[in-house]
Amino acid sequence: MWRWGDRMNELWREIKKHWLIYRLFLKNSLMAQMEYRFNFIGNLAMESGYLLVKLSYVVVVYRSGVSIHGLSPDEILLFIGTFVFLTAVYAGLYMINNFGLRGKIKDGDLDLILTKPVSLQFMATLRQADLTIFSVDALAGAVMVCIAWARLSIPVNLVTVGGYLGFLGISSVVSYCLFLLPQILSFWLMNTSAIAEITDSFWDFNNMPMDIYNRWIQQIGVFILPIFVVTNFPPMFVLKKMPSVYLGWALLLPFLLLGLVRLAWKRGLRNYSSASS
Amino acid sequence: MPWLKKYLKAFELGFETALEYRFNFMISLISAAYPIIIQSFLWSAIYAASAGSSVYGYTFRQMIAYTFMAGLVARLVRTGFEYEIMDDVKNGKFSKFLVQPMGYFPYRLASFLGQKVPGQGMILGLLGLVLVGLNVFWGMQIEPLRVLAFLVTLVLATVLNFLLFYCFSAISFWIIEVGFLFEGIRIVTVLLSGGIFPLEVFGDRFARAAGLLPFKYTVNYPINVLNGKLTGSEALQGMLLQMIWIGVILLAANLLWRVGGRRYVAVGG
Repeated sequence: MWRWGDRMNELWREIKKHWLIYRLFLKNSLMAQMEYRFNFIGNLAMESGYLLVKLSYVVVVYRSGVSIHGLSPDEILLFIGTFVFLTAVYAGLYMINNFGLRGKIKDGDLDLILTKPVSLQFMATLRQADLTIFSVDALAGAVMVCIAWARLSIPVNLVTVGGYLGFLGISSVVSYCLFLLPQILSFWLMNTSAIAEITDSFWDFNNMPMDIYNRWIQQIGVFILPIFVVTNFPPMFVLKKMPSVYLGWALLLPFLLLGLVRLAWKRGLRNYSSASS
Repeated sequence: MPWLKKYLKAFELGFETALEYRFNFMISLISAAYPIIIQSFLWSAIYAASAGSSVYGYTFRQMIAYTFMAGLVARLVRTGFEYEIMDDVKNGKFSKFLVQPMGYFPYRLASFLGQKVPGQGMILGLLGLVLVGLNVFWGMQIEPLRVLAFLVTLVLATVLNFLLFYCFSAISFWIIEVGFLFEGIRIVTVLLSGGIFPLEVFGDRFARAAGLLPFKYTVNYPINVLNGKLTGSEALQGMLLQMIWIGVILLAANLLWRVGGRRYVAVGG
């Protein structure tokens, strides 16, 4: 019992330490972005453009006025809002690190962070953040979700809100793992830019609820290449449209993927040769 | 014509650059297919749920055909040289064009067209396959005269899009790091050109307002020439408007570059 408690304390201390460091990363990223203000404005314009494209799908759905595979336009708005919110997490917090990893491995820049007394994977994959993208998409996504929530008269209670937030947490972990895995190939391959571009474009498959696709694509997107888990599960939960198999899979998948990423990372790291060697 | 020789060389260099990065281009084509797939499924679901056979004035087959063509045509006319211009202005590489007997505009145009040729060939091949597929499986009739008119409008659309982005690239004289802004502009122009959804989808008022801008003539209009939504006289009228826009944007580009060029500062040797 004592050992178990001791371990939990140590784990808690580590989490606290990494959270503190992560907050510093965010602060540094914000300061770096604010230094070049036109970059900040340009970034804002770019993300607003992307947001406009996502909103064009909302317009199409509402103007058509039909229920798509049993989903009303308001329900689809909940899906698209969740997608936009999670784009904030993916594009704002992960993407810049994912794309930079290849360069760090190729140029031997990992040397600089190998020696730090913090998890190397944590440092290499979460150090930078694009808070412009994050704030634009998080705000737009949250507004869309709130509008859909109100129009659908979904009750606001611990089960719905807590469940939705819990699934957002699961989605964040799944997207971290899912989009980091192809980048880890950089430990073995010199140029993975093509793979990165293809996998990054995969994100857009979540632009619409997975119900628009046929059954085969849905099953592949949930169980084999679990891209649909990312943005479909939180709204499915609050709309009570989630089969129990999906619920079990959603609880298991983050642990499976985290284990897989960790394993791949450690294997890949063995392949890493530093700049001076 | 010796003055043309240097621009032919720029065309050749652009052509070679495009061939050098052919794998990247093919990969970018794969990622361009994703929105086409997503939209095809979306339209299938909407038409299946809709009571009428026509939505937004398009039948299901016309809409799917539009989706495929828009994805390819938007890729056909796409630019990318604006980032090179930003680099030229930012890093002082623009200076050499001030002293060399070579115009920057014709150099950029020649290089752009050279870079476009291999990709355009490939995309036109794909477009041809799509048209054959639509004809064989859905019996969609494409008249040869429409194909010819489409090719003419496509050339004009490519030039028009080049000029539009040549205008936008002049922002580099005012703002040093403008890459993100270019991307934002590109996305909005794709939307306004009908490169994602037909403009009619957003309502008559929007379609009418978008019709007053030049962007429509880069994607939406060439597709409607090909798919038979426009009559012969409407197609000709559109072609004339394309040419008028080319003239107007050319003048605007000239003015912007003249004013912007005065702001250019090169430091060092």
